[in-house]
Amino acid sequence: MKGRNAHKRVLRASDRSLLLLSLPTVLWYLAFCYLPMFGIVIAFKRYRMIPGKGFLYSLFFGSDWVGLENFRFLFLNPQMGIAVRNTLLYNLCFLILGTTLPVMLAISLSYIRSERLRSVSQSAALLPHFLSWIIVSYFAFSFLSTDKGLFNTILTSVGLSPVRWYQDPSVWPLLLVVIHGWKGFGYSMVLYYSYVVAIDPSLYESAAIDGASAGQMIRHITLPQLRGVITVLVLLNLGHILSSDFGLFYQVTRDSGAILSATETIDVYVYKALMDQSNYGFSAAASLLQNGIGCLLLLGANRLTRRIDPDGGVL
Amino acid sequence: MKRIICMLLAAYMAVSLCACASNAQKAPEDAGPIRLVWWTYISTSAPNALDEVLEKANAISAEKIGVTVDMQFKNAEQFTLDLNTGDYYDMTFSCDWCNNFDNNAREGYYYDLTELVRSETPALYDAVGSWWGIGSLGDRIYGVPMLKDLGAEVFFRINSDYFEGEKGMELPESMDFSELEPMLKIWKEDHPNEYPLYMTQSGLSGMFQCHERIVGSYLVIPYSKTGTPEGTKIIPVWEDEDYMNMLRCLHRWYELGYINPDAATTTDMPYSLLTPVRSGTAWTGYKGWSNPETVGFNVKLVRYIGPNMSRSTQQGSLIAVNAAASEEHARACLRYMELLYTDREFRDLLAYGIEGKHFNYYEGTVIRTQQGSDDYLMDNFVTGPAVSASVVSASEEILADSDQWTKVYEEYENARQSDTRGFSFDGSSTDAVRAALSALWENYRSELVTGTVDPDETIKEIEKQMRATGLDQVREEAQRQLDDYLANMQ
Repeated sequence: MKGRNAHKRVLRASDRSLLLLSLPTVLWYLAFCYLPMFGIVIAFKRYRMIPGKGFLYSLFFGSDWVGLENFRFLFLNPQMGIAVRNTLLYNLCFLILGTTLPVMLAISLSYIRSERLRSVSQSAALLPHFLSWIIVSYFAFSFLSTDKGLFNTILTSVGLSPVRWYQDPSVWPLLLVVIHGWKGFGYSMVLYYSYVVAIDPSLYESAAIDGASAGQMIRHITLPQLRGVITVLVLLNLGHILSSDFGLFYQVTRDSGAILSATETIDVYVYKALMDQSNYGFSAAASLLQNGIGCLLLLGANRLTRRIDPDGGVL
Repeated sequence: MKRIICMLLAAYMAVSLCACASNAQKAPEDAGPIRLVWWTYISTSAPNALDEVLEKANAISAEKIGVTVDMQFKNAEQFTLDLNTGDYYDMTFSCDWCNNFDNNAREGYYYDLTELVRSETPALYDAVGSWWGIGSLGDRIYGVPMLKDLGAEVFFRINSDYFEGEKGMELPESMDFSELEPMLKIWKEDHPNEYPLYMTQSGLSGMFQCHERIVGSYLVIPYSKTGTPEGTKIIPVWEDEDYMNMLRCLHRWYELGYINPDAATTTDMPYSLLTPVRSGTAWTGYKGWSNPETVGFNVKLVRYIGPNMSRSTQQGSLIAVNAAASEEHARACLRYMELLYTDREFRDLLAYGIEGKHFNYYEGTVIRTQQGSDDYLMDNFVTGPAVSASVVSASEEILADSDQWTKVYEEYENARQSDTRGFSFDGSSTDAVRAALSALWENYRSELVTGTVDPDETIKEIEKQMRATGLDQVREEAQRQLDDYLANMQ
């Protein structure tokens, strides 16, 4: 009897409508996220198409198992250590700066009184997010070009010798961090800002009555209120710690070989390795490894978060 | 009401998803003429006037041989993806650098046409004549060569208005690579803020054609060794002295300011730059780069490499038939290719569009109209053999020789023929090492081929890394295959 009631409760009329509404999303996830997961087997096979048969038949019945052979090319690269180091360091840097700066900006934004100035700054910061990396790479080139770039024009006009920016690896860590920040911070800032303005104003009012300064309010009200969303975003980003934005590292650097010690990431290596041969097994192996490690990290960090704060975490 | 809307929305989206999933392509079967799905190459997108031209072409081919085609244009990546996911096609463009012919034929993706081509289309068999080896693996034919220029000849495309007209120099028919230097110097003196040898990160187009590439771009056999015992010895690219000397020249020119300092990261090189020297692979008598309205000045071609010939230079264009096609469709494909070889008007229609609209005949050659250049412009080898199409003149003043191909093919008798005699490397056992080697080579390629870095110093670094990655292992495997292949031929 109790079970029947519970069953009834689950399928209340309003719930049924909600369930129906969510159906397309669920189907979408099933079709495009869960169903293609079987494709992981490509990472362990030498894919060979059987003429006249579809992809699935060719994969399961026409392709031989090769064990871990597809992963081998990743470890043959003598510079793999540098690529892994670059990927990890850039991602950590993006993670730290990409959290602290947008949060600070969002809080500062909430203190701007003029609505007009606030919306203008919000739009201006958000705009670069919508530019493609190709466009950004042309912007960067117009600044960094050796003979016609803005930077070198300024340098030569004050009597200094021009710099070959695309040949000098030492400047690229800073350049990439700045360009990545310029393109991405606005979006995160708007996201955090929406959380900042949603904080119950009565908290600030009572703090003001108690004589709290702005700094104290930020430390004791705003930041604790934002902790949940910050944790979630940091954890989700940890899942991509071994992946990198190909547009940033390949397009913006204009595939310049001389600066690779500072700019080569795992994704750039995989792309270059597979340009000559379209080996789906190799690319599947590379992304399985990147995402597998990312997933383990996410789970580990999530567990740690839950241990510190039982209400935190994403899972 | 709300519930109904929800249900409708959900149903609509579910149906959309199913529709996406069931949109797989099937071989079309019409009651009338046989309709063939034909994949061909284009780097950008299909020409605007394609439907109009195809409608006309299909009417002709339906009447003459009972076949029509559905022509689908793809770039190199789409070819690989569509082929590997099992999309249906009847015949496909295939060559050495896109939809790789030897690999696909070796994997069994292409129809064995050996008997069928002789019995069904003897005129096609005769038209290809002595060149069937290009489309064969062993003694089996898997593709029909679409004959075009078969040897690699690489030219400097030089501003003759300036060098001959203004400076009174005489541009020879061919020259050594290093002989370009005095010309670059003169130009630089007159235009100190410009670069006479402007180039993109790909370097000078065709410069590698001084050797036959055996594995990737890094294991080669120089054509200069043809006829000597070293003509069948595979070496790393840096042991090809001709190539290294060109790279050394480029570096010197880079340092002298003849090459744009950003060459290694430059991606575009429009005609509006008016750069006085460009490079390209073509054939003697080619006029495609000679229209002063497009280029900005009169151009003369001066050969600096070739003609050199090997399997890779010959495999510039083939049409292969899907191994999964029915025999009826395979026959239809062959009949269609026979028509492309034997009916000049039909061939010109596919290559250049509609006469009077996209091009006009003049003195036995074809001159494109503006509309033709805008709406139906592509390499003519992607729609069939170049040799059976009319030759293109740049304008009424810059006429091409209408009998150009006879002369080009006559010259091939004197071309340096690679000693590898049609060998192609089977890389399936060295995939992983080759992937790592490709990445390493790619790391340095742009800087090397644009003269940005000193080749002698950079090569030391590349050699160290590539040897550590397994270069020798791949070279030995390739050499073993080549030796076995040559022994079998004997």
